[in-house]
Amino acid sequence: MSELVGQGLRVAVPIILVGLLITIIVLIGSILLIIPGIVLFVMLWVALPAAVVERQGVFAALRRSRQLTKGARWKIFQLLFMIYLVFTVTVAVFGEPFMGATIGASNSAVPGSPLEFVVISTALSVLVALFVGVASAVSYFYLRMYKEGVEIGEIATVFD
Amino acid sequence: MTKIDYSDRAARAYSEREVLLTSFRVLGRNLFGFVFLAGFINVAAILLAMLLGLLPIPDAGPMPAQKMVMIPLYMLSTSLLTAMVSYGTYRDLRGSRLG
Repeated sequence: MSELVGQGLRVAVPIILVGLLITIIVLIGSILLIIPGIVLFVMLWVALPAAVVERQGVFAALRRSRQLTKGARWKIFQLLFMIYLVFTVTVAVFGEPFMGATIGASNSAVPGSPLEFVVISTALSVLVALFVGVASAVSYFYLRMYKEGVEIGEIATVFD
Repeated sequence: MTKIDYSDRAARAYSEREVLLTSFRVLGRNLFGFVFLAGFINVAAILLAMLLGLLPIPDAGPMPAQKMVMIPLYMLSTSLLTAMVSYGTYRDLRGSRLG
């Protein structure tokens, strides 16, 4: 676990800059009637793992993602849609009873949200963040495997 | 020597179903480790926000300045988590699970 934290901190600065750039680019794209934002998000889907693994700099990571996702963007969009669908259903099934509790609380004079709602929504958002992180890393691996013939061992050795 | 092929044929081999299933497997195998990591990073971010006087956010208006300052902090914690999760994912795919 400490190894994981160490590896994360080692690439912290470029990763934060890449994350910040992705947010700004997608935000600008979303202002232009949402669709360009989605297209840009799909295009930059593997920029973060590219920055982590290749360590070539911020703009190189964005270019690399554009290169790797080329030809597979429709499938990446379908993947993102499926992730969205899975977690929307999960929230509907597990979160709905607690949403009702929150609305009830806000109607009454009780300030804040019920503890259960806070716990459930936090747990779900952590799960979504983790799943998106894993799916992005796995996408990067498969794209490199199919396009460049790279094996997982070669990707993982950059951390050794 | 790796063979680089950026043709559409190579891109077609990429399957969203395969990515989804592999991601579920990786997350399932490392759920405890990843959740612990996420908790650790989030607690650190909350403590940092409290030290900087950003938390708790007063409910004054729709978007108080403190909420704006929280965005880079959120970005920081999410990016760090992504970096660590990427590393954990490749370690898992290589065969060594998180302890």
